[in-house]
Parts: sequence; C-alpha cells; structure tokens
Amino acid sequence: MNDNRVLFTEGYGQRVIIKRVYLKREDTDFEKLALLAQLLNLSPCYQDKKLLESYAGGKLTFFAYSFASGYVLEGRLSQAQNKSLNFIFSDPYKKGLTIFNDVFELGFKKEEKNFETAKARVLDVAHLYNKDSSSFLEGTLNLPHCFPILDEKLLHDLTMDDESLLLETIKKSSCGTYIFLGQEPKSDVLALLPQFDTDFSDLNSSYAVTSESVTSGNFVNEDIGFVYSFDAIKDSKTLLMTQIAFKVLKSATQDYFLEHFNLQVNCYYHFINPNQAFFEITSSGSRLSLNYDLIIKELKNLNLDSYFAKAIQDEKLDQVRLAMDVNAAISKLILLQDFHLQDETFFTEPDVTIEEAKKLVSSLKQLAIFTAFKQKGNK
Amino acid sequence: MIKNDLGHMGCPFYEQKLANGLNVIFIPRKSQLKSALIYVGQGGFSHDEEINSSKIPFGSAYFLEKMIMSEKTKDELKEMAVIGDSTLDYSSTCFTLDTLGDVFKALKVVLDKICSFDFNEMDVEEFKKVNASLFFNRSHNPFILTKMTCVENLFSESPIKLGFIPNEEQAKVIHASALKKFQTKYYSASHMTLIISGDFRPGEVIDQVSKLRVPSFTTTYNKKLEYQEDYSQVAHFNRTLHLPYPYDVMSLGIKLPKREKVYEDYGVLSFSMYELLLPLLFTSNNNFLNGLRGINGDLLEAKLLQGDEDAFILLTMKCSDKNRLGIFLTDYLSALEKRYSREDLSRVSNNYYCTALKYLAVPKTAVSNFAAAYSNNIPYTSMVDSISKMKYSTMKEFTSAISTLPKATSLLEHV
Repeated sequence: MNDNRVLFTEGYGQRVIIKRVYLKREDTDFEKLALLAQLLNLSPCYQDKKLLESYAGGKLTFFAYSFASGYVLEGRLSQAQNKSLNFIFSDPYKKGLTIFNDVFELGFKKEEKNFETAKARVLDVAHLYNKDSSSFLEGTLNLPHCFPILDEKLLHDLTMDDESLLLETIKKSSCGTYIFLGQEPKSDVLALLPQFDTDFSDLNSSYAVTSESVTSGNFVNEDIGFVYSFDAIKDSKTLLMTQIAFKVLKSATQDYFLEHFNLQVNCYYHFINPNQAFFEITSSGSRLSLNYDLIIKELKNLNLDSYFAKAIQDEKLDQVRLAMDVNAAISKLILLQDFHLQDETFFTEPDVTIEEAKKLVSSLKQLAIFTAFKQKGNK
Repeated sequence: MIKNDLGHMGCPFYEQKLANGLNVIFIPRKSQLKSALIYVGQGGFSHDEEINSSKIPFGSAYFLEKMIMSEKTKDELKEMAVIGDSTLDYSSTCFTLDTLGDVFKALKVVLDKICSFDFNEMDVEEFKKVNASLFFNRSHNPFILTKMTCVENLFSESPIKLGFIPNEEQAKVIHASALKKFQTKYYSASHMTLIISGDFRPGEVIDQVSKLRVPSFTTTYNKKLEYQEDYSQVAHFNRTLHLPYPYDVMSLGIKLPKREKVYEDYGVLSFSMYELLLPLLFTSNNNFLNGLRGINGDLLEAKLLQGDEDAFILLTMKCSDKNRLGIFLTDYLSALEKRYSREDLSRVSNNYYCTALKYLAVPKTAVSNFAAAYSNNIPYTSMVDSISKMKYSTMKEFTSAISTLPKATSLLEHV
C-alpha cells in the first residue's frame, strides 16, 4: 500500500518532498527520536561536497511527534522552483533528492558539540512545554502531531550510539508515506525514493475515555480539554463541516468567557483520528480551576445559533491562507493523508450550508474531560 | 503604468504616481490570491516631539496602526472573506489585505477608515486594556529586557533605542487626540504607496485604484525631535541583569555607521550588503555557529534593524560560560572579513536569490517584500539582482570595516 500524496502547483514557487516514517512505541523512546530530529536539523550527513542550500536554496527540516500508537520522524526537503533557475543550476532537484536520501541513510555528523547543542535544544523545548498546561496535556495524552512528555534524565543519558542505533531502526521501518508539492515533474519523483511496505491506513489512534486531571506548580496557564466523537470523516466535505463545527464551539466558548468572566481564553482543536477530536480551552491565571464546576455546567448549554455564519466565514479565510502559505497547504495534505481522504477540490472555497453545519454540531458527543491546572497556592 | 523588469526573476512590476500623490506599484501574478498592501512611510521611529502643539508620546505609531487595523476592521474584512493585518517597523507602517475575492473593495474599507479617523478615546483605552500583558512584557520579560538593554547600551540619544512598541508606563499617556494629529501629518496620499499583486492587467489596477478615496495632504506644524548621536562610541559597554530565566543569555550589539555615511561610501549597494550581513557572518556561517556550539552556546536570534539614520546588528545567544563566550566573540569579531570564503558568499547570495523567488511567487509575500525594500526606495527585484551579483572584494571591504565598529553587550544571569 502506498498512500502517497501529490499536489501539482506552481503557486508557491517551490517544491517540497515530505517523508514520514512510523515507529511503534516499543521500537524507541520518544526522547531518542526528538534528539535525532534535532541532530538531523543541526548537522545532517551527506556525500555531496556542496551544502544543500547551494541547490536552488535547498532546506531540510526534521520533526518528531506522536502518531497513532507510536511516533513519526518527518523530513521535509524544500527547494525554490522557477524557470529563472534553469540559468543557474543544472537539475538541482536530482542533487537535492540524493542528499535527502543520504541523510535518511547516513544520519548526522558525529560531533560532540552538535550533540550537546541538540540535547540542550530538546531540553529547552521540554522545559517550555512543562510550563504550558496545553502542551503538557497534549503530551500526556500522546495526541497525534504533538510532543509527548519527556523524561529529562533519560534524555541527559542518551549517547551518540543510542542515536545511531535508532537510525538503523528507522531505516528498517516498513511503514511510512511521502508527499510531493510543486510543479508537475516529467517523471514520478516519489518512485525514485525508497518504498515502504505499508502506509498509515491501518494505524489506529484512540483514547481511553476516562476523565483525568493533572496539576503542576510549573504551569503559567490552565487548560480544560474535551474529547468529542462524531461520525467517521469519510470525505473532504465532512472534514470541512467538522472543522466548521469546532470553529462554532471555539467562538461561542470565547464569547462565553468574555461575557461571564471578562476573561480572554484561547481555544484549539486537534483531530485525534477520523472520529475523535480534542477541544481545548486555555487561559492564563487560575480562573478555569476556580470556576471549573460552573464552567462545565454552563458550557453544555451554550447557544450556538449565532455562530454558524461566522464559522463558515472563518473557514473561507482558511482557504485564503491555503493560497498564501505553503505550510497551510502542507498541513492540509498531511491531514488528508492521515485520514486517507481524497480531495479533488483542494483550492476551492467551501460549499457548506448553516443547516449542514448545525446537523454536524448536534452529532458531536462529549466523551471525556481532561484538565491541567495550576497547583493550589500558585497564582 | 511604467513597466520594470529587473533581475531576470520572471517578475516584472509596474509603477505609477497618481495626480493625488499616491504611488501605485503592481506586481502581476498568475494566482487565485489577490494581495494589497498600504505602505505608509512613517514607522515607530519618533521624528516629532510635537505636532500642532500636541506632544506626540512614544508608541503613537504602534497605537495608530492598531486603531486602523482594529479587531472591528478585521471582522468587517472577514465578512468579505478578506484577511486583514498590519505591521510596524522603525521606518514604515503596512496594512495588508489578502483575499480570493475583490481586493479593491477591501482596500476601500481600510482607506475609508483612514480618511474618516474611525476611532475614539474609548477604542484607545479598550486596546490598552486588552493588550495589557503585551505592554507589561515590554518592561518585565527577561529576554526582551536583555535585548533592550543592549540597544540602550549602544545608543545614547537616538530614539531607536526605545524600539517601537511602548511598555505599560509609556502606553498610559497615549490618547486618541495625539494619534489623530500623528495621522493627519503622516497618513496622506503623498506619504503612501499601494502595492498590489494578483491576476490583473495594469490598466485594470489603475482604473480601480483611481476610484478609491485617499487622505489628502494637510499642513501641520511640528517640533522636530532633535538629537545628536555619536557613532564612534557606545553609551555603555555592558550591563548585567539578574532575573528569573531558564538559562543565561547574552546580547551583543554592533552600532553601524550613520546610514548617510554608508550611502556616501557604497551607494545603493549598501542596502544589498546589509541584507547579506546576517547570513554571511552569523546565521548561515558555520565558523560562527560551530564556534558557539564548541563553547556550549547557541544563537537564539539575529537581527539587523534600521530606522532613520541609525542601524544596528543585535545577536542574542544562549550563554553557559560568559567568559568563554566573551573571548570567542572578541576573537571572531576582530577580523570578520576572514570568517567566510568566496564560496560562502556565493552560497549565501544564491540562497537569498532562491528564497526571493519563493516570495515572489505568492502575491502576499511579493507585496510584503517589495514594501520592506521600499523603505530604502529601491525595488525588491533590483535589490535581489544586485545581491546575486555581489563582488567578493566589495563585501570583504565592507565586513572588514564592521570589525572596527563600536559594540556593546548585555548579560542576563539567571536567578
């Protein structure tokens, strides 16, 4: 199976190739993977004597995140694409692709200073996430595309050999996918890359629906998260309607807090899988925990009617963002790939009525509530 | 409109000055997206002590930008499926509009707001209340304070040392009346440029822009903010802060010469050289980055900021041993012209060119990059072209001179 995705477009002046490799939780600790991603960002190893950026401004970026019941290492290669470049380079894309493959094969340069810098960078991210209740909660729940909670002692003790062994495990992984975005090439670029036996179609991610709470003296803010279920998203229109439904919840919730508590809150939603999503409310201070019971009671009875038109409008703005930001296009491609959806109308404005969105909102079921609050005594 | 095609980048642009003084730049792009940018040639760098007998408090440019592109304006634009936003730097204020629909209709909304002074004292006070944490951060966030202290160490008189966003004390004295006087002086057609990009014909653009109402010129009486900056020295060499933060941080500032002087020496090429400085010497320089890592340091931020006649480089680094970092920086900065090779310059300038091609492909990034270069009155494509042809010997001479410039640091020792 190869659920690879391609989006032929000249609209961003660049071409991007994304490789995502899946590892089961028993294959590695996330600490190792997060450190490997940083090492590959800092000092990637490849045979070409010239730097990658010499080839049409090539850039390579690596990410590590939770996915289904494991983790993903994602590598992105991006290069400028324009007719003017034909005068400067003779096929910079072939060289770029060779370097991309080399890095997955050869890994990182084994230099102590880079190793320590990479470790320090991962630790800094971990410290930041330990202060932010939202990131902490997402990490605790291992939500897809999020950074799980790190064991700092384990991270401290990692060696270069540990990372080299992990690279071997990644090379052996048979589960992965590719994405291509850019001008339509003469030949199939993805066919030139090493193929995986399986893609992400059979991976499941679901969450135990027991409500949980965490408290910490480190938090600078507080978070309440709700797991919602809905009918499985099977096409791009339902995906769009579900996104609109969560935008309705977001606006109504923000207005509720402003009206009743004079409090500005941020709301986010993340898809867990095609039939579950996590909706979060985050605020500085301690007012979420102090008024928790009242909030939970009143949020159940929010009047949503006046928010549908605005949410559909917001979704239209997302369509504008898609045209102006290559990262927005990549995020959409990744989401479609995660949910195994086809979208023939990638750049078309949404055609969703208020009635359709209302129907979807009424089908949302709240399954569980999670909280991340400041420890009592911390303001 | 007059057509210009510079740099063989597949990105011609058109320019015309209208009878009302408004300058219009049009960048044709085959894209669904249509973007427009209203460029106002006055940013956060203070030039006036008073306008029409009213004191102009620091932060007025920032508040005025937010009064015009207010949440109310953004909501109005949203209903037209337009993303409205605004940015401010030392030299300019920009209002951006992006849509798949009618960008001229969106321009009309924002320009009408500018023409009608569409805000009052209540809006100003509400903005202060909603953004209290932002202003608080300006005077309390350890990372921001370290950087600001370094800039204050560099400059003794120039208003550039204040930045362009007020802190909570400075915000308190900003009122609608002063903002309106500031607007009267700077928000007139002759101070403004419209930069438009999308799948249009030049004639269509001029036709649509001609229908827009633009603010006319009004005579104002101002008391200029006078200051004398000594470019041969810094105000303080170093200051140390002791604040709660996860690790130690050092900011290093390099005070660049008066821009008039640089322009006399290098002409229009000076702007291109400024663009190359950071990647060539710091952010893409492996000697610098590896050297820092060798002493357990890390580069957190690098900026080159310019306002009026003043400019500076500000590097902010993670610092695990201040003495070793100090020695490394002293050594590295002593001969900057030796820290890169001909190949490095070629790689960095090629990379700049390739990144520009990505920006020029998308109407939004095309207009914002044209606006950034417009502060120096040069077309973006012309600047990219001269960067791609930069001579090694010229750059060597320029960077050698940078080694001799005054420098200052600030140190954050975490507690």
